[in-house]
Parts: sequence; C-alpha cells; structure tokens
Amino acid sequence: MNAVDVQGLTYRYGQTVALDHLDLVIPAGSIYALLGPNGSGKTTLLQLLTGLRRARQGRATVLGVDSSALSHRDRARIGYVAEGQSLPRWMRLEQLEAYLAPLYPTWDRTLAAELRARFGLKADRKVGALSRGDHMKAALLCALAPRPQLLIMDEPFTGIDVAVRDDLVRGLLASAGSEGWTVLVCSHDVEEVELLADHVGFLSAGRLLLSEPADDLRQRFRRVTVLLEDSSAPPDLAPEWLAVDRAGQLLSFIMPNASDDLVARTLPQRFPDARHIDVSATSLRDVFIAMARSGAATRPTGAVA
Amino acid sequence: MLPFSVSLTAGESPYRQIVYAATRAVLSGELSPGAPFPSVRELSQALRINPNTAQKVIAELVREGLLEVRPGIGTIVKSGRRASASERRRLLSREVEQLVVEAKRLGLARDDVTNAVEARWNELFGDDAGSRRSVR
Amino acid sequence: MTFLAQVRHVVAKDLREARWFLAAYAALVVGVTVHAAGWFSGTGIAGGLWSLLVMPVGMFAAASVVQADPPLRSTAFWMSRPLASSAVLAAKLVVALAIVSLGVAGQVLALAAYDVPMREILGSVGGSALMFMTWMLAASVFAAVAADLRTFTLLLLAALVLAVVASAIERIDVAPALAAGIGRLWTVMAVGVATTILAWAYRRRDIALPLRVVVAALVALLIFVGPPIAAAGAEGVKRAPAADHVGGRLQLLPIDRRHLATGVSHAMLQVDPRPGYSMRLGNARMTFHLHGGASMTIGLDDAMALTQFGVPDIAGVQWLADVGSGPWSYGLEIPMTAEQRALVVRSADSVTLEGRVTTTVASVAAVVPLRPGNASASRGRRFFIDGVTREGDQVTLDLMSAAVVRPEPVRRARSTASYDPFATRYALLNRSRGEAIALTRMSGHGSGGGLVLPGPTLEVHHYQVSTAPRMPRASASVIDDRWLADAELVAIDWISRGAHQVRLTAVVGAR
Repeated sequence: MNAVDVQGLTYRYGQTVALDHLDLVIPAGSIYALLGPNGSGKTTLLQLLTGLRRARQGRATVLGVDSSALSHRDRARIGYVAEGQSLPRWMRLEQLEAYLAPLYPTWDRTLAAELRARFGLKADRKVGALSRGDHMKAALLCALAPRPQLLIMDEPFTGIDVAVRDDLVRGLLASAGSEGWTVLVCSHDVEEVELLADHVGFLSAGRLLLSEPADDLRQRFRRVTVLLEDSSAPPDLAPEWLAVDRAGQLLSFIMPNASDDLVARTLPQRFPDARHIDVSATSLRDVFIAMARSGAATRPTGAVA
Repeated sequence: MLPFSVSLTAGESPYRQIVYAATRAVLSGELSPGAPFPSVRELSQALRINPNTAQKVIAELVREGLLEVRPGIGTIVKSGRRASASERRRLLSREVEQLVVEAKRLGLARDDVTNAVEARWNELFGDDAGSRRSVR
Repeated sequence: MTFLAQVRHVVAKDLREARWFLAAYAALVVGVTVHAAGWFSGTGIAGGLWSLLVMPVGMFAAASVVQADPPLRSTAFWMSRPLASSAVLAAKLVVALAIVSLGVAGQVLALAAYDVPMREILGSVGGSALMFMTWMLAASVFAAVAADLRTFTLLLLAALVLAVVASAIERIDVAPALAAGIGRLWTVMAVGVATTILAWAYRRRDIALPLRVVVAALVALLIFVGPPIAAAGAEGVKRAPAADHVGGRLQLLPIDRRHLATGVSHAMLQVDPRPGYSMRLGNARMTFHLHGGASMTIGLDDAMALTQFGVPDIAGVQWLADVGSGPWSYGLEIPMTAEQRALVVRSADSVTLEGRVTTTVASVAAVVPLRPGNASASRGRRFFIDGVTREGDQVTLDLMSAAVVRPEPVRRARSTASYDPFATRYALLNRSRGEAIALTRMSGHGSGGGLVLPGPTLEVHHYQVSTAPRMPRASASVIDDRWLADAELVAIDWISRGAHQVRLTAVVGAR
C-alpha cells in the first residue's frame, strides 16, 4: 500500500498556482526526500497532505484516508513537523508531553525519555525559552514519541546548525519502529538527506519533475568530462544534457539518462576526436542544481542520446 | 564507530558502498571470522542511513555467505569463508581501473605502469614479492 | 480520546494558558460586585468606569483562549494533532460560558444585595447574560479570523465604532412590545449565526482572506448594529399594580361672575383626597357654556399637583406638622384675554372642567431604625443613614439611597415609571408614641452607574432632609432625643395608580 497517493492535485493562492495537477506516490516504508527551490509548492503540498488546507481540485490520500477528511484518529498515526509550527510557548517541555500523550494511543513514554536525553532537552524548560535548534528538537520529539506510521517534515533543518542537524537525523533514525514507517522530508538541504533518502522527488513551480528511487536516480545521472582536441569540430550536444559547460579543451555535462551501455557506445560516437572521456557519478546535489537551473522535466526514458 | 572502514560518498548508492566495504573487510580479514557484525540499528546510526537500507545490506551479506545469523547472539562474520585469489583481485579492480586510466591519460605505456608498481612495492615492503598462499 | 475527554483536556489547558487574563477578569468581577453591592460601604457606590471594563476584559479573555488554538492559522499547534475540531470549539465555548457565568454570578449577588425579588433577578440576569454571551461570541469570531491579538483589537474597535455610529443614526419607531420581541429574536439569531460561523471555521481550517473579512463584517453588523439588545433585556424591577385610580373626590365650585371680572381669573376646585393618595391634573380645559348654546373652551396650564402635603396612611399614627387631610380648595388659574373675560362675564351660564387625573398613592418602601450607619434593603433599593442632627425641635438627616433601575430602552418613549426613584419622600416614625412627621428634602444630588453586567443600573442619591419648614401642631409632643431614640426612618414611594378622565360642571352665577 502507498503511504501517500496524490492525483491531479491543484491549489491556488488567489491567482498564483501553487500546485499544478500534481501526481505523487510515496511507497510505504520509504524515506522520501522532496526537494525543490523556494516557492515550488513544497509547503503547500505538505499542508494539504496533513489536512491543514483543502484542495479545490484533485485528491490526496494519506494512509488510505482522504486528506480533507482526516479524523482525529487518523491524525494519531501521522506526525508533522514544520518550520513555522508554533509549540505553545508558555508550556514547559514536561507539560507539553503531558498534554500530548493522552491524545495518542501509541505514545511511547520510554522513547520520549530517550529522545529527550539524546537531544539534551531539559523537562522543566519553557518552550518559549528554547533556542531554534532546541525548539526543532522538541517538535521532532513530539512527532516521534507517538510512533507515527507516517512522519512528515517540512524544512526541519532550516536555520539549524550542523551539530543539531546531526542530532535530529540520528534521533529520527533511532525512533524507527520495527513495524516500519514512512518518512516524507522536504528540504533545501540536499546533502543532509542525500544518504538518508531511498526515494527522491523534485518539485518545481507546482509540478513534479521527477520522482523515483534514489538509487535509480544515481544510476542514470552521470557526469561526463571530455578532453577535446584543439582542432576538433564544435561538439555535437544532445538537448537533454544538463549543466553543459566548456572551458578551454574541457567540456563537461550531466547525462540524465545514462546507462553503462549508452555511455560505452554513444559517447565515443559523439566525440570521435576526444583525447579522453571521463564518466563519473554525480551527487544528488549536483543533479538538483542542474535541474533547478534547467527547470525541464527529465523523466527516465530509454531514448538514445 | 564501526569495526570496519567505510566512508560514504555522495553519488553512489549507499547500499552498494556498504556492501562493498563490508565484503572487502571480511575478505581481507579486517573483520575476523566469528566477530560480531553491527546490528541494523548500529549501522543506521553510524552511517546515517535508513534502517531499511541497513537491513538490506545485512540481508545481502548473509545471502552472499559473508555473515550468518546466530540465534541469541546476533549477526556475526561467518567463519570458514576465505577469499580466493580471484575474489581478492576483484576487490582491487577499482584501484587498478584508476591506475590504468590515469596512466593512459598521461601518455604512459603499460611497462611504465608495471615498473612503477614494482618500484613502490620494493620501497614499502622490501624485496618480498610473496603473497599469502591461496588455500584454493 | 472520547469527545468529552478531549473537551475537558483542552479546557484544562486553556484555563492554564489564559490564567492571567482570567485572574484579572475574576478580580475585576469580584471587585465590581463588592463595590456595586455596597457590602463594605453601606450603600452601593455605582461601579462607574470599572463595571464598564467587565465585558471588554471578558471578551479579551475569550479572544486569547480562541487564539490559543485558532481555527484558521495553518501553523497552529492543534491543527496537526489528534483533536477533533468540534471538541476544540466546544472547549472554547465552555470557557466563554464560564466567563459569562462568573459575571452573571456577580450580577445576581449585586441584585440580591438590594433585595430585588429572585424572580425579577432571574429575568433581568437572563437578558444580561444573553447579551454578554452574544458579545463573547462576536469576540470569538473576530479572534478566529484575526491573525493575532493586535488585529483582533483593531477589529473589535472598528465594530464598536460602527455600533456607536449606527446608534446615533438609527431611528426605529416600533411599538415597545414589538421591539422587545424583535430584540430577543435578533439576539437568538445572532447567537446562532456566530456559533455556526465558529463551527464552520473550526471544521474547515482554511478560509481565504476576503471571505474572512466578509465574515467579520457580517458578525459586526449582526451583533453590534442590530436593534437594541437592551430592549430584550431586563424588565422593570418594580411593576405597577392593578390600578385603583380614583384618588379622591373632586368638585368644581360655582364661579362668581363678579370674581371673574376682576384681576386674575380662578376657578375653585375642591379636592378631598383619600388618605395616602395624591392627585395631579393634566390636559385640563375649561369650557364656558354661553347663552344660546355657544361655548368657549380655554386650555389650562399643564400638569398641576392637586395635593401638596400628602402623607401615607399608616394605621395608628398621628402625623405631627401635618396640615390636615383636607378637603382643600385649589385655585385653577384660567388664562383669558380681556375679550374672553368680558364674554364670560356677560353671557356664561355654566362651566365644565375636563381633564386627566393621574393618581399616586404613598407606599412605605422601607423602614430603617434611626441610627447613623444603619441601612436597609428593600425590593431593589437600599437606604443608608449617614447622620442625624437635632437643633431644638428641628431634625436634619443626611441620607443615601441606592436604587436598582431597569434599563432605559433606547429610543423608546419612557413608559410610565411605576415609581420614580427621584420622588422618594421621607418621614420619621415613632410607633410607640404613634407619631410621625414628614421630612422635606433640602438638597440632594445623584449619580448613576452600572452594576456588574449591562442591564439594570444603579442610581445613588444623597439627600439632606429636615423637619424645618413645617410648623408643628400644637401638641404635647416635642421632638427630643428621647423621641428620636425610638424613631425610625420611613422611605415613602408614590406609586402610580393610573389615570382617569374627569368632567366636572359648575354654574356661573351671581348675576
């Protein structure tokens, strides 16, 4: 079963289209990283999934339930952490936990205590007095302690320093239940989620440019560096190559649909005079920078380059 | 800290990288037979990967016969698993690839490569050109 | 968690979260109640400006509670938690009700302190509570659509300004009974609409800004600008009993023509009031019937009091310095021009007096033993004796009286008051001697203010009354310290008994 299933979802703020007939599937048990530039609609999508907003068109199903009809029982299975979310400033951490615990049938006190220790949070501190990093830790604690089936995180790392980010990720991983859970993380910070995510999606201007397992993505995006001869003719570039760059005799680009076979056959054909062709893996970071710049949809195809 | 060396780089599947590093460690003896292998939780925490991925890694290593699960003890390195010379040579393939490709780029010949290798070996390990005797 | 458990859970949190606001409100209500009930000061001092704060502070408390879990902010804490919207809304309404209830409790205590009958307290407080709840709901709606307390304050101020402007412009001429009916219906409708809007907001969780503005405007119009809520509020604290409207006999004495010819024209009216009754003549006109069938009508000046020195009819008591029970003759001045007078003198046969007689009866409102510092509450009023001084047989008292007055329906003709608190008279009574003496008001001033909740108001009067201008009858009794030692202060109301038309005829004679 899919943890999240979105079909044709559209949302507008007045005249601006935030989500444009979006289709998205998040398989159960995966860690899905949703990436994309500012204003691409990530926050809106997450708010729609948690029922904080209602879509005019399309449908979003979360844990088998329509997101606009989430009952309070459904919400007990969903954890939500967002950058702007306000925890009650006047409560002490222990009061906050005491307030939330009875609302969730699956609240795990032991896990809560473990996370509090791991995050270094004191139970008697007021939420309003917490630093930004500690505030995010507290929010994550509140979302993890009930052992949700689906955890949704909207920009959890923004404005948080590196050490705290590490704590957050480790706390998250330590809470993974044996039954399996699904995590949807939305972040600018590609590097933080690069090794964590097993599924990746890229949202731009309300549209999903790609959505696939991270390993597949890494397989098909390759960085190619060609050392050309001085006298060689102008290179024959394929239109779907990304981040094409030339300096002196070096030509570099990213192939979005590479395969071992393709690389071995077509590159020498295209660059018969090349002194050297170097093919290497690209990090997700490079892929997404390239995609953000090009803005073009690059779905996996079997096309010949 | 993990009992074998692994350093994850972006751009390649973490799953493959860990399987590769663990395989290397077992076959080279870095992980001795009968030694405990990190649990899913430990792998996940140490490398900051999805526990699911850690699970898959261990499953694959068990499938390949490098690890075994002992009830009550956990996952340990399987003893009696010796790497053949060809397996070990295969573990070196990446470094060989790099050496050969780079030499070609610099316009060197094959003999230059072998001479360089031999020279460096002698500097480090003396004239001992021996290798561990293969069992098979 | 069950629905009720969730409501309890959120209410507990809200009470904790808004504890400072609620404590301030509670302190205010307690202070205003104590002040208005006059428990510590002997008589109620109108709460004045403090009682005006009760509703606004209550509204702010309600607003802060709503904004603790706002329905329309996507970053709100409760929205992504397993709480049913209906439970959260119910919790907010419970707190609002608690706030209103505290105010109501204060109002009940204050009214009870003035010995207002329980039935009337309930009726009055019902109206006040309804109005308070309506305003609380309006505040809750504003708090729901506003982004923060600052925006809420602006919205509230805008609505109040709107209300003030509307009340200045509006002129609704509806029959009082109908106005009261519409008022109640309107209030109930306003309550229904406001609650529905809140339920919708909490359920929907997402309303675009233009729609929010519309909602706020709708609620403002409904609740602050609608027909006066006060019309639906408290009924009178005292009702006029069945009218026994004939206050005595009136007789028009024959007019001597010769008297008419000279100087100012008078007709003599013999007034024989019933004991304890007083009469007033209004809309009077004299019609002279002339030879040959013609007649001439002259209107008389307005509203004349026919009895000047009425005292209540207390059994077994002789009134000292009483001018007697009558009958008296009262001269009705007839404004005639020289021609009219000549005509009447020449050819008038008889004269008819027509008019409307309003009757009031003296009724004892309260009896207070005469000691400085004593007070007594009776049916909505409290009388307090500040001081007693005696110079010879002239006794002067400093008094305070506080009266709970039903609210003046705005833009509605003042209906006949069953009693007029300004018209209270006083007397000294010594039962053991069977003697009483009426007191005259020398000076007085009054002030008014609210109780705890809007509705009935408190009017406080300070008087100085004295026996001075009266001439004691020749009697053995002298007012001395021993007399005063046994004396009581009697407060006397003149209760309206209704009115009736009179038509009296007399001959014009002595040609």
